[in-house]
Amino acid sequence: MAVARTRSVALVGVTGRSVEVEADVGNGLAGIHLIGLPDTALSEARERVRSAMVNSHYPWPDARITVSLFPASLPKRGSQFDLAIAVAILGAAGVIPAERIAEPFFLGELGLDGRLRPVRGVLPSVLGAAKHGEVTVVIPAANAAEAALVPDVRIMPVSDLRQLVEWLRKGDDPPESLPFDLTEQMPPTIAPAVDLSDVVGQPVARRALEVCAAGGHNLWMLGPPGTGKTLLAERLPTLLPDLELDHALEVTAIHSVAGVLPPNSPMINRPPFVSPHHTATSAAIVGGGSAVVRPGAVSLAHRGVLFMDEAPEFPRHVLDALRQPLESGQVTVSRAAGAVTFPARFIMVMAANPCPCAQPQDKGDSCTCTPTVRRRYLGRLSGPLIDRIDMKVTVSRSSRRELMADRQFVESSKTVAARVLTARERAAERLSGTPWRTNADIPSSALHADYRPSDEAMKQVSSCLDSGTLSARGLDRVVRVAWTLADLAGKPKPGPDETGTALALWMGLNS
Amino acid sequence: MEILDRNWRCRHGEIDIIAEDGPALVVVEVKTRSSRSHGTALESVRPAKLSRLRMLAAQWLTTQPRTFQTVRVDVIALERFAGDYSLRHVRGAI
Repeated sequence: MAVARTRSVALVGVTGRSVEVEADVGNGLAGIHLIGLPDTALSEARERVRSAMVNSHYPWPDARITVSLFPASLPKRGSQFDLAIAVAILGAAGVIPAERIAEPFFLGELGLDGRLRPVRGVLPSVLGAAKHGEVTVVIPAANAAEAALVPDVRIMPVSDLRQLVEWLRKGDDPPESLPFDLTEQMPPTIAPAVDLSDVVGQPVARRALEVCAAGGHNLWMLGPPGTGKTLLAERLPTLLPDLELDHALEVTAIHSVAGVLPPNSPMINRPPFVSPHHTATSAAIVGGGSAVVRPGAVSLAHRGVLFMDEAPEFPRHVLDALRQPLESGQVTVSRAAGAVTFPARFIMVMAANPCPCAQPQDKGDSCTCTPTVRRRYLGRLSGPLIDRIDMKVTVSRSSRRELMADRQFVESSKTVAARVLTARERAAERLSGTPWRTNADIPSSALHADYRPSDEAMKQVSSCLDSGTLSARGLDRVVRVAWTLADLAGKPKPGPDETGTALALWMGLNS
Repeated sequence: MEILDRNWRCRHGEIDIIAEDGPALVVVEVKTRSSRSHGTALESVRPAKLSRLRMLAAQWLTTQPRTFQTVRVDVIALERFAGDYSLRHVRGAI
């Protein structure tokens, strides 16, 4: 009898890889055999495809059917190959012309009645298909909006098998890509319910938050409960500008793979804010899973904010697992099935109480913790982790007078966000022609070669390095923050003021 | 092909047709269906049935003085549609 060939996409991490699906309808006892390292969900495609075809009134070939997924060595998972398998079998059985299905990519899970169900990870899959030039991608109608984000690809949304087969039989030209205006589809930026002006009495922390937003630096806030640490961190996203298109696609692809994309707004164009609970496992934070490796909180926070509230309550190994993504901007998860790399470039904000009892110690109040307990509590944040945090800020309780006085100095998120945007634009202009966009992205080597502040500005920092209070990494971080401070102040280069402030922020000497 | 025996039974089961095709012993399972409401005749023969036939072929051979070079299992599917018959012969199912 006959062989037909078509294409689909397998996901490895957040990258899509083209998979050839071949079906052979030949002599032998009736039955269907699926080869090419399928997992359980994919093996069950046999039953789904058969029922869907029979219930769509297409003849199920009474012959030996062999379906092969190529490359055979790549493990394939999930149900998104259903449609390609059905189409390949129909092609081999002569129901649809085989040459019509050779070029397009088919993605989607089949219902038993032939309806096409949405699948996870459509955006990265379509991006993977787009690497093969101007292709046609057939996807479930429910995923249409997400797939349409990819430029230069003809998207063919289909709601059931019958509709698709009729189109393939008639031989019409593929439909024009859907009229789709990205700006129109982007969800209107909902006015955030939270605003920086809600936080009164913490001028230093507010300023640190602004620097953090402008340069993409990490922040640690230490202080007793009720001083506004969580409040401040939750307001950080309101200071960040919208994601640029390429970043928005990256973020959306990760959320698509994780299956947490809101159905009505396919494109994530605001920096995500992820706040894992302190009982989260390291697999939940960095990504993991035995069969399908899913992105963890660090990847969901990619190009956004990862907020670790009550940081010392996290298990130590979870905190230390953050070290690799903090340094390299990506995280590699290794499992028996293989290693997967997810992007994970985020702004980390940590909040911590000074001790477990969390009573203020400064005003003669009643902290009942012994010095050993206090030391052990903060000791859970390991030195190497603290070393990767650019700014450490102590927030203390404010008196009523301080609160009243500060009320006239608070600024709205909008005002601060405008300053942040200007500073980011200055940084982006200076970094144009490089792959980096914010000061936090600049690697150490480039920092010393091209972006070294004047010797005068570096004097104080160098002496700290000589005396051993500052590590080499710490030095890099101080210089990056100094550049951001210069950007915020509108200076062309950081001077002694900026490096001094950055050094103080690095050491946490503000109170 | 020459038929040697039909409906041969032993305590393990029954062989519908035992035939000789050149050097090969052929064990044939005949399946008849009068409608497709319970699936086609061909697909009703499962791998377990085929391996049982293979075992029965060995049983039958122990009762015979002669030997064969190979043993083959065939399936003949007979379906009846509106008074008409269709017959399919799958050679070498195992």
